[in-house]
Amino acid sequence: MPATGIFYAASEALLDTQSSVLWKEVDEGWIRFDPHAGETHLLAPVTRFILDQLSHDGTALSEAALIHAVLEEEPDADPVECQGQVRSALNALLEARLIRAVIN
Amino acid sequence: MKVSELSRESFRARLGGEGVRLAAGPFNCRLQSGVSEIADELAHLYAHHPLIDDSAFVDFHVAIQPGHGLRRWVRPQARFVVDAIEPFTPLPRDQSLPMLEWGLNWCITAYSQHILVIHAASVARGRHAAILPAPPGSGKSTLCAALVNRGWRLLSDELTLIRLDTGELMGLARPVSLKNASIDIIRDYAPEAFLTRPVRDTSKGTVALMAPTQTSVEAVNTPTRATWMVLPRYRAGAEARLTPMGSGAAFLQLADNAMNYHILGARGFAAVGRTVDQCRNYSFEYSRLDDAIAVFERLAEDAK
Repeated sequence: MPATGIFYAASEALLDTQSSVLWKEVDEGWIRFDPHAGETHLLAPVTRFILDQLSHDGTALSEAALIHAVLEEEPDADPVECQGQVRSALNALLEARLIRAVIN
Repeated sequence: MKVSELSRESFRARLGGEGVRLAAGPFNCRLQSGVSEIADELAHLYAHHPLIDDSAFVDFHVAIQPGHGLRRWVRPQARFVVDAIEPFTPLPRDQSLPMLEWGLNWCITAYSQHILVIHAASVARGRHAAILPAPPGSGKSTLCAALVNRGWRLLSDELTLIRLDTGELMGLARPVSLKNASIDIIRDYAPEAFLTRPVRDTSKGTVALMAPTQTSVEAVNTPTRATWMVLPRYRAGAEARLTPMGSGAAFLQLADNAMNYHILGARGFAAVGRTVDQCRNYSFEYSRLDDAIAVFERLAEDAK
């Protein structure tokens, strides 16, 4: 479970292949297709936003920083609800091995 | 000339000799068999399919041949052969006819990388088609067979073919594979349909094949557009009900059921994306076939 003190960064595979990744907007958010890995994921909008935040070499952000980034983008969002969404998104991205947790 | 215009003797002679050359949608097939007992049922299953010239290109040269050596007499077996290769282990000889159909499905899946091949049934009304992807046991073939016997055109029971350039569906109009309880259900529902004798103890249980309707075969090359993607599920006692499905979930359903999505890469991604965009996407629960047909009729009415 993501927790304070842990940072999140893109997985190596994500950085290696992101230039060839294809995206499609769908009702629920985004479909991400990585032709190299042969993987297709359905990402909620907040999940894609977080993935975009982390898709830079050398970037590692904490959960709190990601929540802050989301709230900056959506100032009217409920902070508590936002925290839950960010946690769910991080869990989904970790499970998909698109990001990794880094202990500071 | 159609298969049904051949005499019984002529069909048998061709099947056991140089082969029966016929067109099934976009594919030309040459069917041969040294297992003579499948001839009559095979002739019924493909009765309305057109024969092709001897000079026409054949996509798949397939044969069902008897087992080798002692297997001709002891627990006889049948072998599926395509272009002189045997991709499967032999099966009991009484499974020859299902084996031929499974083998043809394998050929289409293995060799068709110029189209998107989805493990799904598809049926059409006019130029509008419904794609029915679903896991085994969901009632997909039963629903497909029922629709085909109530005025819908069979495009395919097992493999839905989508053109990469236009997104149109390509029909096959090959036999529908019915399993277990659905065999008697369709016998009762459509007594006029031709079904083969049930073959027991296959890897899929008891199997019988239903012949496609004449209309389905004759209109097989009519350009058809995917209009609905319906994920069916039979549940005893359920009211027939369509539930809208998001395009993301529909995308994953089609991609998961596509046999060559990953091989096609970006082209497969584009083809699945275009299909979900042009379809209204639903999950569908049903128990009574008449109710299910009524739901599909309403869909067809709305599309007019």
